[in-house]
Amino acid sequence: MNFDGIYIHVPFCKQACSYCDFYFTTRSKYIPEFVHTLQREVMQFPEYVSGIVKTLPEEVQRPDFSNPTDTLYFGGGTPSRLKIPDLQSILFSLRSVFNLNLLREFTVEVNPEDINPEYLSGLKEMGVTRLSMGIQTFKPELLTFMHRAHDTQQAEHALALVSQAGFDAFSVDVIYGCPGQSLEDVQDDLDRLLAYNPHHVSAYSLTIEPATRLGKQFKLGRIRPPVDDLVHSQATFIREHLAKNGIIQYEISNYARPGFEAIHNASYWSHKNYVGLGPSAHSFLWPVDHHSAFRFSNPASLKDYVQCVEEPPSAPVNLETLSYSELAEERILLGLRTKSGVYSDRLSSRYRYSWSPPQQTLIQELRKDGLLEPDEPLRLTASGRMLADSIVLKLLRLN
Amino acid sequence: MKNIRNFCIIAHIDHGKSTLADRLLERTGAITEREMQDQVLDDMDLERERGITIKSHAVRMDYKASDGQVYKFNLIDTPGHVDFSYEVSRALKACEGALLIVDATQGVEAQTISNLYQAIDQNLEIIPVLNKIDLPGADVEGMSQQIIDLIGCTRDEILPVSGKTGVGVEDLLEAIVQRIPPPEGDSEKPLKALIFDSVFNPYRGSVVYVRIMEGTLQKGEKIRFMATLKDYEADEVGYLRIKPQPADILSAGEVGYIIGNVKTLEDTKVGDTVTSLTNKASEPIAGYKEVKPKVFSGIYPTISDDFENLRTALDKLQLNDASLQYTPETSAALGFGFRAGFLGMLHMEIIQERLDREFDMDIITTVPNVEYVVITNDEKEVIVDNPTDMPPPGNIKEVREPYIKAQIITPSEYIGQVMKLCQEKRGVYINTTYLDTKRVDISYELPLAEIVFDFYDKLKSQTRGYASLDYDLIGNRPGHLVKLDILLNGDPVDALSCIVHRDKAYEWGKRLCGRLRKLIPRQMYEVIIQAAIGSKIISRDTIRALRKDVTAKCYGGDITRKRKLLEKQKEGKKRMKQVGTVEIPQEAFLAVLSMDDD
Repeated sequence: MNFDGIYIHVPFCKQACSYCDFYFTTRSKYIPEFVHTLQREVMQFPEYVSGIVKTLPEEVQRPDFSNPTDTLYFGGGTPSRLKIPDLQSILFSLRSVFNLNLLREFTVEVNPEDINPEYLSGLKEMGVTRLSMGIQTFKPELLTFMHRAHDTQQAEHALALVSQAGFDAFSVDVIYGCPGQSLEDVQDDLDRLLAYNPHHVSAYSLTIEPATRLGKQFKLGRIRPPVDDLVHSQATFIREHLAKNGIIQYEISNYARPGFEAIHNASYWSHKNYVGLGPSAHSFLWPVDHHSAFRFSNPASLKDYVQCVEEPPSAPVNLETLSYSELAEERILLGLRTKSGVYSDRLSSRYRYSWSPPQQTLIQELRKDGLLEPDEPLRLTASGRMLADSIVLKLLRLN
Repeated sequence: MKNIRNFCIIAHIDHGKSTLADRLLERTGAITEREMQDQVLDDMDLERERGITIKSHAVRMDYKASDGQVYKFNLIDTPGHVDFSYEVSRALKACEGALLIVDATQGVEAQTISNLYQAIDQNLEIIPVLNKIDLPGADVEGMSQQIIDLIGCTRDEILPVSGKTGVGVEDLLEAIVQRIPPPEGDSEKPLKALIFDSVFNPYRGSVVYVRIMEGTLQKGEKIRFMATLKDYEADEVGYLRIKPQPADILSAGEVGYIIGNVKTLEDTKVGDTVTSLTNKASEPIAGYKEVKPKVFSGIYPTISDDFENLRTALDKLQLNDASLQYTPETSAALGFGFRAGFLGMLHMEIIQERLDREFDMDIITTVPNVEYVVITNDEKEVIVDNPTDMPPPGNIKEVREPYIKAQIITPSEYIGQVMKLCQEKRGVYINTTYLDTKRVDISYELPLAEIVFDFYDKLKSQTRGYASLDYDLIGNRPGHLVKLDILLNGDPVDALSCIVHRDKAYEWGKRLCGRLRKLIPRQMYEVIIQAAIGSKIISRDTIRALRKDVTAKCYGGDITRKRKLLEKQKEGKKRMKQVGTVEIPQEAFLAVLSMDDD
């Protein structure tokens, strides 16, 4: 057993995007301290996780750090706020603890305003295989609304650089469903994007989270989300238009050319073991055939995080123990968001979960109504996916 | 007995009854200033907040008058709302006098007049008191004239006071001694004690408040409640001071309490007569009435699992409030619940609020309705207090509904609005009497069903709060009444059915459908809302199916956050009621209650 994926949270941003509720800070003066702390955290991780491992019964298999890790992902925040040498030293520490020799995917999130040819070649030399760039939109008014740090021209320029830099794959994030954003705006964004032939697109419908600038504006009644019919037509357009260009939806918000689906993100959806390093990052460990899994996370503040690493507690903080039924609900919730769905027999073997008679009745009804595909694995149709939250809620309430 | 004075206070809400009563308690030393928690008599939180008295209360004071003698005053406080008019009549019966308190800035109101007439009918000595004379807006001259016109007293008989500053309180105490006659009643005769209220004490059982009309009651005596025919032993008797003061004997003319290990208020009904088992009175005191609810509504737990908790809460409330009646019922839409009967809308609101505050019960109440008498084609009489029990239209020969006679007192400039409102509510005009040059007393006969809803609020809003209302039931009359059903995707929602007048059914149906369209959230499937009379659809609205309901992001590795969101949504869904495939939020069932908001 091993950790299949490693996530590094780099919490630095040039400025605060109005929709973002991930942990970040705009104070780049803390970068050196962060890099230093992160390296220390990496080194301490086996000891840290042993706080959980030693509570396990003897017969349960322990994680073996010499087994190869599949994916490495630098996310944020904005990892491209870090200079290449910083990234290199982090990578150096990681290699001393984890086996990164057989990485299948090494992703770094970048923002358009941070990159230049030297930076990109630096990443490439480090072994980065995949870039994920937050473009969000090309429309100046919407970039302002989102409070992004780049402008239209920088977006175009960065895309040109990335598409020619020769990475195995690159992905672009876009946002739709913004107040004032028309279907034509979305069409225009996609067409401009497709001109650079991305391998992967993440298209997120704008979610107004309470603890964000938009959340506050919404509460004050200054902004109003668009009607769901418009958002629905934008989502439908995106799905169909990308498909025409060979980029196929494989999750609610994720589209890829076949073979370029994100491996790291998918590991979250299928309960693979992952390590999360850096402030607010989450780790997950489910020993094989064990009746419970563990999820724990670092403090979501740089100061608390540093303290936690400097004086490590005997067992992981924010530790949550998940039961079979909680895990099963998560798997259903996440699996139904993906095109590959969930297998009922897998639910029963790995999660000890079986459909109750009312759930079976509902499944039949959903199939009849064209919201679920007629056969195994259990998976939503395109129209069902639009209602995934309602359907999952209905299904899980019946257990 | 000649030194006893039993009296009550007749006053409108906010006319300063409680403050003045507190002042009397203070002056007579019944309570010290330290014990004085504002407005001692209204001891339920709700009573204080709403500024009204819900239950009768009584308190004994000893007053040393200017003649050097000590007088026993028994002040019996009376409920101040039309829902409780029977309780008022019993409290009046226990007194020889009444203080008529009129706010010098407001004048006489309908509820006051109604209670005043009852007091005059029962030959009570009335002491008119003009209160709040300290306020800048006080019109002592004008209001005195109103009182003179009303009861035919002289200018000198009216006592100007201020409960707030205490001005005139001394004169009032003297007037109580001099003007109110001492009680009469033969202590040698068999015991007759009038129950004017009873309260439930969890340790002692029902505590009965009585006025001894004739005879004496000794501690330990075997007693009988003449209407309920229940026998008990008077374990404890005593006087109603701020705290109960046990005594060995209560004699004719006195006011006091009896504790007799009575487990339920059901046995101690207001208006009943207590007599002695060994020396029985031949006749009870006249005027006892079985109190019957006038308004009915379904009460359901929002979360079905709470049914037993709701039953416990209602059982406990009933211990304190015998006028609350309820029986279990089931609704296809709401599951298991109760059909409850109330004295009126205020009473219903009080019960709802007490369930919420004292028992933390989350409930859904259905549209309140009155009790109808349906004559079927085969001449059978069916009592309908729940729209669901209404026979099918083809089987109905006639529907009769309760009518009331309403007395509305309003400044004369609002006559037009008041009459328009009464006409809208199917009222039959009786007459108008000018109380003085500015105020009129308008009488209408109205269906009870039309006034239980929102009549009072509308009356208040259309007369800028000046009009006041009192009413009496005058019997059942036939009316063109129909049952209006609401269907969601073809399934009737029993809890949304109501009985309305035929002429108003279309308007109601249309508005109700429109309201439900706003209150029921969009769902995975289209929802068709229909209003129907029998099989005839009279209105229709559609809630379009939800197009998109999916979270964009799953917060990276923080799946916990997503799952917690789901758990919260699951909890939220428990509060939804399901009819067929349609999920209905709690608010939708209350929609009908606030039909006039839009």
